[in-house]
Parts: sequence; structure tokens; C-alpha cells
Amino acid sequence: MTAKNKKRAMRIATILGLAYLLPNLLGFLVFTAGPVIFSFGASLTNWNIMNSPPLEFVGFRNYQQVGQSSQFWTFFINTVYFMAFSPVGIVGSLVVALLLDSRLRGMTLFRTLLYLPSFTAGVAIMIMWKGLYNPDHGLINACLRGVFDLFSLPFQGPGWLQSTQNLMGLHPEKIAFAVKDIGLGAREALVFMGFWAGLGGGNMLLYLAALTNMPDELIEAASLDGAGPWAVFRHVKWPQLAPTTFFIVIMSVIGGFQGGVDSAQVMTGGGPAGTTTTLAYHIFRKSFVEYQFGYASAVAWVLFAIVFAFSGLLWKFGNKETNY
Amino acid sequence: MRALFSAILVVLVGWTLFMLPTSRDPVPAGKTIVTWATDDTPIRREQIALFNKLNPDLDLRIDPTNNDPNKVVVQSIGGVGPDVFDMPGTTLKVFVDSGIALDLTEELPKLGYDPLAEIWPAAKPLFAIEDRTYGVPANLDTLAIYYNREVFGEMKLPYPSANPTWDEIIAIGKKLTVKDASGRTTRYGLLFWWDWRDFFAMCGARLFTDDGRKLTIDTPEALEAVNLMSSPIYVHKLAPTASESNSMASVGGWGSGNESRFVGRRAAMVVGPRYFTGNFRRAPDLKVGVVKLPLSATGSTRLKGRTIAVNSRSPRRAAALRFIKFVTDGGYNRLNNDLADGVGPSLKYTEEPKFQFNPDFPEEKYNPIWRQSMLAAQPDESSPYISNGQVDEAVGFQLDLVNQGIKDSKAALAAAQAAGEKLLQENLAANAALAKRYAEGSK
Amino acid sequence: MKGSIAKGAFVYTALVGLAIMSLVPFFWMLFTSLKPLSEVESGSFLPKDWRPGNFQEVFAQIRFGRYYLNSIFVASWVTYLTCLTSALAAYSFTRLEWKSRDFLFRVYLATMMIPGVVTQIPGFAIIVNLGMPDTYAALIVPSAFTAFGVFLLRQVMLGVPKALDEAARIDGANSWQILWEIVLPLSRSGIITLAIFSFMGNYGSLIGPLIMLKSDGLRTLPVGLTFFDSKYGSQTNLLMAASVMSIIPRLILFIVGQKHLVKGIQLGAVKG
Repeated sequence: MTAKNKKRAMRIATILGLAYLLPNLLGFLVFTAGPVIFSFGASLTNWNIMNSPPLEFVGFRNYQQVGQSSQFWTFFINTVYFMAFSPVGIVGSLVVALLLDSRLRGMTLFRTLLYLPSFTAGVAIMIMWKGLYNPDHGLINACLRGVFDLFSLPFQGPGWLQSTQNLMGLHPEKIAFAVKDIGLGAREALVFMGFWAGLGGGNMLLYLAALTNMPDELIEAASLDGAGPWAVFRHVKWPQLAPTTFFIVIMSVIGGFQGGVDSAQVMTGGGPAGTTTTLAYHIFRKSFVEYQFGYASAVAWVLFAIVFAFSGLLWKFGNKETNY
Repeated sequence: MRALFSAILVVLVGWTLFMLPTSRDPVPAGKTIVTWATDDTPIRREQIALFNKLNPDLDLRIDPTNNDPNKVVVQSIGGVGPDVFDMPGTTLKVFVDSGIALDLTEELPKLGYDPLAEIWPAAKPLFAIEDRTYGVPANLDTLAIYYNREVFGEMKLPYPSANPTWDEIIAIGKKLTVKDASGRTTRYGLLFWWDWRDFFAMCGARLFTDDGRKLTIDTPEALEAVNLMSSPIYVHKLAPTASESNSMASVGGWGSGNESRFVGRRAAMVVGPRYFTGNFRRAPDLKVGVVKLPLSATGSTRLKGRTIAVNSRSPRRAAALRFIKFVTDGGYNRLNNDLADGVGPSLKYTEEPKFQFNPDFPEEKYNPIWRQSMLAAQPDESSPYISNGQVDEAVGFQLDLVNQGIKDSKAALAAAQAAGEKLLQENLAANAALAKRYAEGSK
Repeated sequence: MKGSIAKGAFVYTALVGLAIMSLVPFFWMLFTSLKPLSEVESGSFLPKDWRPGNFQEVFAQIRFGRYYLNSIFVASWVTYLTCLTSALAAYSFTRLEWKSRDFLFRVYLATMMIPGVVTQIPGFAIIVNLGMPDTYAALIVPSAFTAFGVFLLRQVMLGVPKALDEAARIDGANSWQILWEIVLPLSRSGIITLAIFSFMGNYGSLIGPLIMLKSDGLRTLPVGLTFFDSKYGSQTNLLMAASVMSIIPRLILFIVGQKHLVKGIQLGAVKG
């Protein structure tokens, strides 16, 4: 094949590839890429929707301010804190999916039941959780109190949504650790609620779909070779699940860095003492409470850079694992 | 697979042909549609029905919002907004400075309305900036104390006096608080919103110096306010903790948890606005009394309200202005006062006998107290150099620490002052025009 | 044999425990929807005074039927378009070799990393400039081209062995036939999952439709239900009644969809 022909073949292949992509690409460019590029432009201005001061180009001044703002780093730590728990959630969904993939009767019923939190999730359920976490009258502390009473231990219930304590002992006012700040507070309350909502939810469904798609021959062959359930999982199922795991991890990183807006709005207002204010909620407040759209866009793009770098690393690592 | 996708497409297209023609409510011949961006509630529907009855050539329709102005901002900045819209009065500056709200200074006199003479005088900052007028309050409200007369009767306690002091309210509240065997409170003496601005106002604590250039949230008055807010909870134990109040908020049948718990007799007294009255009417067995909120010598209650403005880009300006006129008229004001959605914008309708005593609601003998409280109320202070949201952030952060017993009130307020000042300086650094204004020292 | 009984017992115990945790909030919603307003705050789980009439009251106070229909209609279109365009795009990203393919895919991914808050205003401006505000199209079109769907199906298609389409190609099939006859049938569970995700997500979304809509006849359920949730006098019992009813289409879709998430296609069967 001559170089010219090769070039031509490549051009044809590109046209064909773009043709398949086109229906999606058109909508994507107009409705997704366009606004995203706009927001980058906005991040270089002092846009605050008001005419005083007049709209002007300020270069990277907003970014400079983001870097200097102590708030940004506090909220960044909050965000990372929430994300630190997401591996636990992912493993939980995988376990549930494996349970549901067993060939026992009634699994379709259980799938539906376990997926229910995803139907009911939303504002109404967050309101219910607020009641459950009530330190004095809520069901959760009542149960804990019962357990403690059983063993005749003195009970000092966690403050949950009222408390700035956390499992890592992060200090509410400065970036520091202290033993007296260790406990169960608002951050954990939101994490546990997330577990509840997520366990039988989307990630479980993705794993389940991948498991059901897995050829039976593979598992049967391994079982015949005398491999136990763990060995089958480790050497047959887990490698086959790699693309799904990769997807879930990447989406958890992307989603995790943008999470926490709804729960902050409905349940905590970002408090107590800012402990449940994530970067995404910070961006929301900067945009729609203070109307600092330029600054908020800059925060969003700093967030973008972080997520991009982080998922890029995962991509490299994941590529090795999954051989793509 | 291909057959499935094609079949679904055919079904969807067919369905679309059915949905499209039925999706629009027909516009009656000769009528102009006017949109009002507001929250869709039963009260709003009554107000709209009245407007449409009085204006047969117009068809006013709700453009639903969920109680925050973001939709109007996105729509107006993005291209098409509603014809008229509601906003919290405290956000007036944003809507004016962005050019969304139409200047009504010349328009209102043409409609035969003098807003400064007719609207509750203290409400001026909610609809006017300097001497320009940009809207009319949709309704206004302030706080007073409701008490459950039946609970007082059962306890054989006299009702609070018409002008109580805090000491009196707390003494009564202690007697009304009931605990069960395990020490948990089954009935609170008093409920109130955990909102430090309410207590700052009551104690006469200022947020800013007169020129708005400096925060003043560490003054003795401010300390008194914070102590006053926390003592019923932590010292006298007659009110629920802040977190409990928070966990109840908007669970209930009546908007906020406080109203519901008051109706459910889990509290004997509640600090609340007049719109609670409208909600209490849905509990026909409830017998309520109202007394004024205790204030310090320099204190006041807070005046809050929604402001209605006209979208400057509305092509139906004349119709929109007729709606503004409607809001200022007797029909709307009387309806609003009767529905107890706060009070109407124009002061004079509360002088009428039907407001003083409405025979439809013979139990409600306390409307004169609302009128007096409204006359004493003041809107929130503001500073051009720091937003309300930022002040809330600084103070709220520290009060959350007070709540948990991590910090005492005095240290917390000092820290809030420092944090607020820092935010203010950051605002100046980010905005040269603002910094210039600050340096010149004019408000 | 003994081992499998023990295993079964373990699986069931775990699942029943999880199922109870999932069901409690649902029943809380259901029982709240059957209470009179004055009991919503009573603290008891079951109503003392049962009010099934709340469900009729929902229809009396708002155009619930219309909102219901709108929600299903919009979500169906979005789901359909998302699945179709994402499948085509994912096919292009996994099966066709072309210039800057991987670069473009990364651009797709990257756009997901920008929080939606900062793209709201330009997004709305685009809808206005296309003359679409306050139409069904404004609700459907912007949601129908998600990077999420492309990414999801790309991962699924990567799991479909390439040997199969190469065999078909040798047999003379073109790319269009390979897509519909080999790759898509083998990606069925992924497409069903994506369909479930798109429907659930779109059916429940509030802020997008709230900003796009004015007309009453176009409102979707989440927008319509704000009527019961006003700051000034919410009717939580009716809100819950409406929410319980609004679960039904999602439930049906899920039950039908997950039925097809079964091992049906054996790898050997598709050859030839």
C-alpha cells in the first residue's frame, strides 16, 4: 500500500468514525462543550451579573485569589474527606452485586427491594434522615442508647449533624488534628446516609450487569479445576469486572469532587462550622448566593484541574490493569 | 435490536403528536398572557384569580420558582425572563444593579401611587435604593410570640402580658416545659428560630457602622444577643437545641417544624411571623393568643418581605405595570391581610376595622398587635462592602462552635468579627471600584 | 451440599437485612402520605387517623395527571436518545480506528469534570437562542447527549470480544451490520443499565426543568410537586402521597429492565 493510499484509507476511516459519532457530537458540542468553554471565559472576568463594577477581563486574578483563599483549602479537605469513604461504598456495592448474582430463588425481588433507595432518594428522604439523626429524639441515637444500656455503659450520643467532630480529628477552624475532635459528626452522618442510598444503587447495578454478562463457561471451567469461591472471584470474576470497576472509580472521582450540594442545601446548610461545605457547594454559594460568577467559574476550573489530574493518573494506572 | 429501536421511535413520535397539541393551555381570544415568577401556593392562586377577575383582558399565570431567585437570575441573564417576579427584599440591589428590575420611579406616580407615602415606611430599603423605586413589596412580615391558650388553661397559668419582658417569657416558659421519666422534653416552653439576626435586632446590636465600612459584631449588644439566644436552650432548658430545631425544620405539615410542633402541642409558645396565623387556621381546634416580642431600648423586630419587580426586558410592560398597580390596591391588600400571608404592602389597609377584627376569624383578636409590631420593625442592615451571605458565613460558623460548647460567646464573636473583616478586605482587593468607594468613605 | 445450604442461609440473611433497611424509608413515605396534616409531626410511624383520601386530594389540588404524563414522556425521549446516540458514539470510540479518536474521547470525559452550576446560564442562553425555552425540546434535547452514557457504553463494548466482529467482517459484514447484529446485542445489559440510569435521573430532576419552563401544561412532576412544599405552608402528607405515586413508573421500568439483565446470550451462539 502506498503512503498516499494509506492516508486516504485513514481519511475514510475518520469520516466513518465521525459519522457514527455525529449524532452525539452535535448535541455534545452545542449543549455541553459550548457552556463549558463559556465558563472558562467567565473565569477570566469579574462577572458578577451587576453593572458596577463594569464587566472586565481580569486575566488569572480569580485563580490567584482561589489559591490564596483559606476557605478553598478547607472546603477541598471536606470534599476529599467525603471521597475517602467512596472505596468502602464501591466494595459494598460489589458485595451486594455478588450476593444478588447467586443462583437462588427470589433474587429479582431482592434486586428491586435493594434498589428502592434510589427511587425514594431525594429531598423527602433527606428530611427523614434529618429526623433520624436528631441527637435527643432520633431513632439512631435511640438504638445506640439501647445497646449501651444493655451493657450498662454510660451513653453520650454522637451529635451527628450538629457536631464538627469527625473520625480523623480534623479541627473545625484551622487545618490541624486533635484527639478531642475525634467522634461522629455531620460529615459521618452524610457519609452513612450515602452508604445507605448507594449500596443497592447504580454501582451495584453496573456490577450486576457485568456479572450477568460474564460467560458461564469461564466460571464453570475454573470451578471444575477445583477453585474455591474466593479463587474464582479473584482470578476469574475480578479481572473480567475491570472495565466496570474502572468506570465506577472514574465516575466516583468525578462525581465525588462535585458532590455534596443537595445534602448541604437540605440538611446542613454546609455546616456546622462549614464542615459539610464541599467545593461544589462552595461554587453554588459563590454563584447563586453571592452572584460572583467569575470567581465561582475559576473555582470550578481549579476543581477541574484537580479532577483531571487525578483521573488522568487513574487512567494510566487503569490502562495497565485492564490492558486497553 | 434494530427492530426494537425502530419500534420505540415510532411509538415516541406517535406519542409526541398527542402530547404537543395538548401541552398548551389555550389562550382565550383577546387576552394577553402575563407571567409572574413566584412560588406556586394556594394563596398565590387566590391572588391570581382576583387579578384575572379585575383584568378581563389579561391572563396572569404563575412561572413557578422554588422560593429562591435563582431561576429569575438565570432566565433574565440568559435571555428571557418572566414579566414580573418576586425576590427577597434583601436582594434588591443585585436585581437593580444587573439591570433586571425596571426603574419604577416615574411609573408609579403615573399609576396614581406614591410608594413612599403608602408603603410601611421602614420597608423602603426593600423596594427603593436612594431615591429610586424599583418595586413594591408583595407582602411584609415580622415576629411576635404565639401562645397556646388551652395549654395555659390546663396549667392554670395567666397569659403573658401584652408587653412582656424576656424574664417574664422565660419564667412562664419554664413552668410550661414538661419532661418525661427519662428526662427528655415532651413539651417545650418556647420555640424560636435559631437565627442570630433576630436576636441582634431585638437587642439593638448593629452589624455595621453607619457608613458600612466596619463590622460591629463584637459589641456588648451583640454578646447580649447571643447569650439571649442560647440561654433558653442551654441555661433554662425550655427550648430545643439548635440542632434539634434544625432537624425539625421543614419536616412538618406547616412549613417549618416549629409551627407543626406548636400545633401538635409539643410546645406552648412559639416566636413566629404573621403567616403562621394563616397556617394555624388549618388546625381548627387550636386556640392561639399573640403578644409582642420583648425588645431592648434600642431594639426592634426584623422586617422581612418579598419584593415584586418588573422585568426591564419584558415586552408586556404595560400589562406588568397593571399588575404592580394591582398589588398596591385595596383588593390585593385586603385579600393578603385576610389570608394572613404576612401583611399587605400598603399601610393604610391595616387601619380598617376588618383588619382590626375580622368576623370570619373571631378567635383572632390580636391583629392590632401585628400592626404595632410591624410599625416597630426594621429591615436588615446591609453594607456595600460585604454581602449578607458573607456575614452569615462568618457569624454562623462561630455560633456553630458556641452551640457545641467548643467556644464561649465572647471569643466566638471576636473571631466572627475578625473573619468578617477579612472577607470585607478580600472583597475590596477584588474590586477596585469598591475599594475606591471604601477609601472615600461614603456609604 | 451442606456448604451450599449454609451459603444460601448467609446470602438470604444478608439480603433480608439490607432489604429491611431499604424498605423503612419507603414505608415512612407511604404512612406519612396516609396521615392527616396535623399528624405528620406526631412522631409515630403509623397514622392514627388513616386518610387514603390524600391521594385523591393530590389530583384535586394540582394537575397531577398531566405532570405525570409529561414526566414519563420527557424521560422516555431522553432515555431513548441517550441510549441511541451513546451507543453509536461508543461504537465509534471502541470499534473504529480514526484520527484524534482518543483525544476527542478525553474531551468528552473532561466536560464531566466541570460542575453544572457554572454552565447553567450559558446553557439557558443557548436554549433561548435556539428558540426553545418553554418547550418539551428544552427538556429533552440538552439531556440527550451525555458524556456519561458514551463513557458507560464504551466500557461495556470494550468487554465484548473483538474476535467476534473480526470474524463477521471476514464473512463480509459491514460496520453498520456488525454494530446492530453483534456489538449491540452483546452490550444489552449495558444498554439496559444506561436506560435505567437515564430514566431515573431525568424523571427526578428539578432544577433543569424549573429553569426551562413556564407553562403549566409542560411541567414535570418534580416541578409540579413544589406546590406542596412551599416554605409558607407545606402539605407534607400530600407531597408524600404524590411522591409515592410518582415512584410507580420507575418501579415498572426497573422491574422490566432488570428482568432482561439475565444471562441469555451465550458467547458461542453468536458466531457465524
